Amino acid sequence: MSRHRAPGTFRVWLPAAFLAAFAVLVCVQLVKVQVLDHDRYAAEARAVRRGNDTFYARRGSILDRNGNVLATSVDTWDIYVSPRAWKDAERAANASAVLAPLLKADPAKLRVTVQQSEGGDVLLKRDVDYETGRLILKAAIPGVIALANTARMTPEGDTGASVLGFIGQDNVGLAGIEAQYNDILQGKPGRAVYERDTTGEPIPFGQYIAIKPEAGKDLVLTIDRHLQALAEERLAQAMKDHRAQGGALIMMDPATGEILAMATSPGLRYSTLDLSDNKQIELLRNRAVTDLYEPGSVMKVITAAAAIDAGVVSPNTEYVDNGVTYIYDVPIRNWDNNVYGPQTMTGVLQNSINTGAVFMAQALGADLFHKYMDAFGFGRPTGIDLSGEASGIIRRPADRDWSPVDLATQSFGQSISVTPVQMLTAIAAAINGGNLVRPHLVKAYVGADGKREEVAPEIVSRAVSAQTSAAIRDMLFQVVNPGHAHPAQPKNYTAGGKSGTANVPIPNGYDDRQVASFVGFAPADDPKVLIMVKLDQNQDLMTGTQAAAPIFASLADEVLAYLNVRPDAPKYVVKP
Amino acid sequence: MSIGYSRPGAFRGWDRFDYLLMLASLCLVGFGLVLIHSGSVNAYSGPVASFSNPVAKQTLFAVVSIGAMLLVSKLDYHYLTHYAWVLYGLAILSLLAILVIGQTAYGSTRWFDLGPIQVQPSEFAKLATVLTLARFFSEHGGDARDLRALVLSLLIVIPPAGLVFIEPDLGTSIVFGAIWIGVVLVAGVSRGHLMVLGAACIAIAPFAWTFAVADYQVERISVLVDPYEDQGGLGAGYNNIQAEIAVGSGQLLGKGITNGEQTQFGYLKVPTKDFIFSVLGEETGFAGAMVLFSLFILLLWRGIRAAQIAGDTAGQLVAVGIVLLILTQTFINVAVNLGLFPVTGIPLPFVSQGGSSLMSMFISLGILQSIIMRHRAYRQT
Repeated sequence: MSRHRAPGTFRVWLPAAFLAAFAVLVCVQLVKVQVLDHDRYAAEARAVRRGNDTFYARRGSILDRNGNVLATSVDTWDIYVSPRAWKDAERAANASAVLAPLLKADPAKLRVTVQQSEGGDVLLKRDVDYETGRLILKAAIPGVIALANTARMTPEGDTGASVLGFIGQDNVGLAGIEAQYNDILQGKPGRAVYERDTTGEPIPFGQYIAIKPEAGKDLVLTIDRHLQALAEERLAQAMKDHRAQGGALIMMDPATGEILAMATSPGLRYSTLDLSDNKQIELLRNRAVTDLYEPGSVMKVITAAAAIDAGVVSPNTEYVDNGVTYIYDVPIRNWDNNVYGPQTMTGVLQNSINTGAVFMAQALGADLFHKYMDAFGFGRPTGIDLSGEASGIIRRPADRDWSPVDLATQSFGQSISVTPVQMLTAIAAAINGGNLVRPHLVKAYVGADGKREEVAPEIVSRAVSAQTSAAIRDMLFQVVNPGHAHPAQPKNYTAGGKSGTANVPIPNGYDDRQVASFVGFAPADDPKVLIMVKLDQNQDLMTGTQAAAPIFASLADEVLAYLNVRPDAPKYVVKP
Repeated sequence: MSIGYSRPGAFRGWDRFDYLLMLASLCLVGFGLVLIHSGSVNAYSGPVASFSNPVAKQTLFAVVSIGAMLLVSKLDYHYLTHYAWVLYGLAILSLLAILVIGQTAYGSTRWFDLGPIQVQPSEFAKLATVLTLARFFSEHGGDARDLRALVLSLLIVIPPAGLVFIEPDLGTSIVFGAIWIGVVLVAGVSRGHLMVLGAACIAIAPFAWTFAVADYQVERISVLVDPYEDQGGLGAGYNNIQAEIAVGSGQLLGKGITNGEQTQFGYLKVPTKDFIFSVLGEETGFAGAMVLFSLFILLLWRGIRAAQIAGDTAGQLVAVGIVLLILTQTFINVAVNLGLFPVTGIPLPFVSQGGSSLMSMFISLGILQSIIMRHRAYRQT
């Protein structure tokens, strides 16, 4: 190896100069970051560490009108296992042997579930009841973690499920009253702000700022659990008897708009709820407020109320039925193609004569008729406290495709779509003295401190005069008491009502599927309950009078007895 | 010190041993041990004297490495330059081998797994390349003013740099480049050639960007411009942001050892290795960084001094190469921590946890010492 003498040494400093230049750059950055911008980075460091959690106090309960619990939250535990703790086979075997009987599960299955997980802690069972959870905690099983949770319990089982709705796993209401009143039931969330490490765990002794959560309120519903169960039972029975596809059975206090019972089918059932089944998603809507139907002859009650209120007819006004009325060459016939001859307006309702309804509507004229339709709340939501309420569809004279035939058909309940609750509310206005009330399901709130706030019944507007209403009550009494036995007659009470049997509209016509309904009230002079019985597509093709009216009659007896209303049927009324 | 007087055997040359240089390196290692302790105190809770305690492990490595340094100091560096080609060949072989049987960590294959310790051959390849370059330029025909020699020297650097690049380890390839530039600069490259080479590099850069640089590397470079672009700071820019926050929140005097939240609560990834400077920045502040820089500047000064007083061209070039080897890594590491350079996985010399790095650093210092201790010997002959 040859040994050179080292050459001139100035170049040796060149790399050093390079490195020095880099050093200056680094120092400048360091001064900038550590001294000049320090506040920003310090703030960022704090922000990165700041965690916050939202938590709620216990969710309010839902009670029926008498204070019976329909839905309430109970403390439960969610049981998790850390897979790392169960890596060792012997340890896992011991731990699972202790845990399995408490969870009523098979130890081998538990081990497989835990060992197959690739992520973090494995949820073995959600909503384990409080006592079992305490036992699991006490057993101090390696790797087992119990986190507090709450579960919604419905002591009445499936009763009222489609009204109550349900809550998701995050304790937020997803349907029914639970969704509509979520904020009130849930209360105000509390917040915990704390310093955390990268796993999100709070740092011990770190700063902790908490805002206390405000407890939710209990809801007192207008629903009566006994009547609700009765309604659901009768609807199910009726659907079976008449081979119907669906239906609704709603009871309402006509004076206040309080819904006493609301059964719908198909509807939500907790016992069979399976959200992974897409078909069940449509069970979540309450069909009594979301689904439309053509009411048919029940609408004649409204037509008569309007005509009498406007003074164009009286209950005793006579007219002659020829069996058919022509409107611009379109024949309007009676449902039974019968010719009734001379009839009073009461007779029109008794015999459900289509041409008679057309007679009244034509006497009113289209504009006045529609003024009354507005007054009875058609074509807009009733404002009931359930989400997803439909407005209904009503063709008006101002609409482009309006025809005078529409006025005629609307008078007996075709060319108009309503929701069951909307129809019921309109009939309530016709018989309760003339007030359009807001139907509602919540009677009162009860705070965590026991303070009760009543929800005052709300009168939306006046539809007809008290005299008109009295006249309608009498006419409907005559419908149910035509001088011979009528299927809608209760045994112990006087009653009034009107049936409707309408075909299901399809584009450009009607299907042979039908909706059979009856809306009735009792007692006739001072209605305490208004009941709608509606059967969708009953395969036996019985009419509203045949299928729905008897159900009304037996319900009226039972409901009024339950409500302690004095029987007033003629056989009980001792004449002085 | 009288000329002609010679000490017997083992004590020969120790009076010329650069104790200041050694002191600087020992201070850096000590500083590093404190920071490693802070960075691992939450992750390790076993006994102090255990091989799984990062501090104990690093201390052991340091002791062994210092021993190696002393041995190498005693060894005439000419033996090393003499066998440079052999060392170079072994380095290339080991870099090839690692691509086949190496350990992959953090998406890169850089290590041999030898039981409790992992060996990173690129550490020794850098040293072998320095020695080979020095040998090349110190021989006849190795005149850097000659374009042919310049190109040949480049051919020495490209194989190891390329093999390291495909591991992939972009940072270490850049260290190879810096070593080469430094060595040819001192070896007397002509200004014209240097300019031509610079122009060529600039011309090749776009192609390299497109074909040779992997997507993740492009991403790491682009996060420097806006670290919050990817997933609001939780994506590719996460390490840059957390490191910058750590350093920035340290302020002038820092939060105190083991008191830095960024470090202690796990926001910094690999806080005892690549991001140890962030721990330093957070917990000892600007003052700590200045102490660290002072120690490295001391190292730089003593290293360049070694090059200046080296007895021959080979020694001078080896010294320059080693200075660049140490300080390029230092600056890349610091620049990464400050968000000035893409994240590349270069340890901070003497400070970061890691046996291979420590060993190669101290062996490098040993070679420097060897050059320093022998400078008079050649002036005498």
